[in-house]
Parts: sequence; C-alpha cells; structure tokens
Amino acid sequence: MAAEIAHIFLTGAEELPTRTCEEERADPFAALISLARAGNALAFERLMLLTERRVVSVAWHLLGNRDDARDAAQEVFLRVYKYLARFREGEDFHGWLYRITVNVCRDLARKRRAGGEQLDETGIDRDAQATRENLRDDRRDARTPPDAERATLRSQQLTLIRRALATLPEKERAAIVLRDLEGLSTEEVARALGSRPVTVRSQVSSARAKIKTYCDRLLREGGSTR
Amino acid sequence: MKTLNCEQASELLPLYAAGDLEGARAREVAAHVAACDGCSTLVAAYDEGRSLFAEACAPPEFGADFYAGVRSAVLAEIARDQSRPSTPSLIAALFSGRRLAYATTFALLLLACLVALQHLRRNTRAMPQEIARAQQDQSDPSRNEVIAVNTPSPPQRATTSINSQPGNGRRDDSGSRALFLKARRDAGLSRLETETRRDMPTTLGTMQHVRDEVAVVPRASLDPALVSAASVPSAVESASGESQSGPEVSRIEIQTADPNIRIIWLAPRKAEGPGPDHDNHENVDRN
Repeated sequence: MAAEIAHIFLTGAEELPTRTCEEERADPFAALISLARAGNALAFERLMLLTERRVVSVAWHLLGNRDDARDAAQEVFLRVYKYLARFREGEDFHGWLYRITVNVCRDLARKRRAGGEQLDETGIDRDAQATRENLRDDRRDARTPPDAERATLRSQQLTLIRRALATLPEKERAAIVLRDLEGLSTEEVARALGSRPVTVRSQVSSARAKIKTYCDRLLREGGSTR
Repeated sequence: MKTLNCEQASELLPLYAAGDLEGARAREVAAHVAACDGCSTLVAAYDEGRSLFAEACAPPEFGADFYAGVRSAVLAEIARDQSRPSTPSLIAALFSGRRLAYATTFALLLLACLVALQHLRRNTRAMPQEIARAQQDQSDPSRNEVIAVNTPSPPQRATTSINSQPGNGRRDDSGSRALFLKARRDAGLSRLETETRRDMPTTLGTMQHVRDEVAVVPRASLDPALVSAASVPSAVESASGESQSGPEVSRIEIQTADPNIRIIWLAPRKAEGPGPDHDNHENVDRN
C-alpha cells in the first residue's frame, strides 16, 4: 500500500502543490482529501485509485454481482466527492468510506428489490439443490480420481458458503463481510455500520452460526443419499 | 471463574473461535472447551468454516479496465455536474432581456386578478356586516323596529325567536342561524328581511326550513302601521273567508341571499288573537 501511494504521488508530482515529506508520511489521505476538497480533480482521482478495490470488494460481497458492484462503486465515489467538504479532519477516512459504501449498497439493494430484481430465495434453493445433485453425482462416479473428487467437493463447499452469505439478513451480512472478509475490528465495523460493538458482535456471531448450519445441512443432505 | 455448560458455551463459540472474546468470558469458554470434546470439535469446525468462508468469498479479479471504467464514469459525472449551471444563474438567465418584461407583465396581470378576486369575495361576505348592522338597528329605535317572530301554528313547532333586547330572547340552540326580521316604516310594507349568519339558504328547499322557523306575529299585536302595510285585504282576504272586522292575512317577504329569490308568505291570521302558544314568545318590540 505504501508503495502504491508513493507511486501515485510520484507520477503526478508536477501537477500537485508541493507538500513536505513529513506531511505525506503522516497521513497521505489527509493531503489528498484537502486537495480534493479544494477542487483538485487529480487528487480526487488518486483518492479513488487508493480506495477503489476496497469499495468494489465490499460492494461485490454485499450485492453479489459484478454489475451492481460497479454501479455501487460509482455512486460511492460520487457521494464521496459531494460530501467531502463535510468530512471532518482527523476522522477515520476508511471508516467514513465504508459507511458510505454500506449505505449505497443498501440503497441499491432496496431499489433492486423494489424494481422486482430481488434475490430470489427459490433461486438460491435451486442453486443449492443443483450443488447437492453434483455432490451425489461426484460421489457415485467411481472413475473420478480421489484428488479430483476432493477438489470438486471443495469447490462445492465454497459455492455453498457463498450461497449461505446471500441468505443472511442485510445487517448480519454487512457485519460479517466487514469483520471477517475486510478484516476490520469490531469497533471499526460498529462505526461503519452506525451501531454499537456489542450489536456487531451479536450479528457476527449469529451470521457465523447460520453459515455453518446452512453448510452442514446441505452437506449432510448431499451425503445422505450415498 | 464461572463454569459454563455446553448450551451457554455454544452461543459463544462462534466468537471464541475467531478470537472475538476477551477477558473473563474468553477464559470461561476456553476452560469449557478444554474439558468438553463436543465443544472442542465445534470450535474446530468454526475455525475451518471461517477459513473456508474467507476463501469462498474472495472477490474475483475485476481487472484494470473495470476500475478504470468506474473512475472515468465518476469523473465524467463530476465534470457534467460542474458544467451544469447553478440555480441562481439559471434564474438570472430565465428572466433576462425581453423575458423580464413578459414576466413582469404576467406578474402584474396575476396581481390584478388576485385583487379583483379579493374584492369579489369581500362583496359576497357582506352578509355578516348586514347582520351587525341589523343588531345596531335593534339598539337604535329611531330607525327601525326589529320584531320577534313567533310561530302561530302549529303550537308544537319549534320556533326561533329573537328578542329585540340581546340576551333576553331565545336563540336557536345551534347558533348557526340567526334570524332578524326588520320592519321598515319608510318602505311602507311589513317587509321582513331574513338574514342568516353563516349559511344563507339559496334554494327553495332550504328556504322551506327558514319558513318553518319564521312565525307571523298576529296583526293585533303589531304596530297598526306595519300591519296595514302587510295586510292583503283584496283577493287573499276573500279567499281566506274571513270577515272585514280584522286583517285576514299577514304578508311576509323574505329576501334570500340570492337577490332574484324573494319569498312572499301570506299567512292566515286567527281572528281571536294570539293563542296560548304565543305566551312564551315575545311579539313586537316597538319603541
């Protein structure tokens, strides 16, 4: 990350106002934020470059597909640009960015649901059913080499877990994505979601238990017909 | 240290497995897991599930084009937004040059229409002022005589009686309609003007209701000048079949809110004078 920031700073050094190395080292985002706030488009573009992967990753986890993730990321950065003036100096920029991302994804998901594009539970069940059938077929097929069988089983498990994530309630999904996939601490997740750490802990615990139960059930059903 | 059972521990295992528990609670769960094979297996399952979860949900590689597309779309939208004129400049552009003259003319026309409308509404609201004037007339005996009107028959009919002295007479309980009947000497007729405070009747149906509330004062109790003016001694008199010894018919004119509608009521009068039902009504207040 540090190398990335250094590279970005070096490539556009001639177009940005000169800042001391100490300032840049202290908080590279603070420097970019103050420049972007002043209307420097290049600084804002660099800010996007530094954060786009996180934003897209969270959006993809929460929305489940590439196109929605792209739409969400665009909307996130537009909101960042619009409300950058309200961002308080010294505040955690990533926490602020995560909060905007979660809100944008929530809005987008609601819009999709209102437009009849909701994630169909029966569709998930159909996928899960297909996964179970594949598991049975793989186990019946005696010609499949053991390593290939193991790899297939692993792949099926991963598919099941992804499906399990999609079945979680909105808040639990956001909590477990930020905690377990993005690696934020419970307190950071709480700040990003606008709730209390104890609530986040409860949501994360519930989500982990549900995912485990979901996968156990499907694997058990898949293996019971052997 | 508190000892946990399996049920209590199982609720905390998802957090314990990921290292989310701290302090005494973490030690309690650790002690239980060390002693319980079932819970120990569960912790291992959660551990494995967690790593599987991270592996399963690793985002795909979107590629540089994907990110470049996001950035360019955002920057294009920002540029479009900046090139868009602001609201004050839009207003200024809208009302510049000849458009300003048109807008001013339109505004003046609108203002004139509003003034005319207001004037019209004020005229239609003149009725309450008339009522106030009538009340003034009540207290000013030199101008008019305000008479209380009673129902001559049938006796059981509810009547509205308005006393010439405020607070002394009985008024309609609803208070929605006050009836003032004015007899004007200078008109030469016993002309009764009916005025309502709120909803002046404008149809014959509602006027029927008003008529029910209006009672004719027997002629004997009226001022002779008024009575003679109100009497119709010719055809109506003969139709009523009463003798010439007294006035046979009282004429009441009720002017509604609509100037085109005036109700003329010819009420036959009893020859023997006011009946017992008139005792509780005030008849004429003359000064």
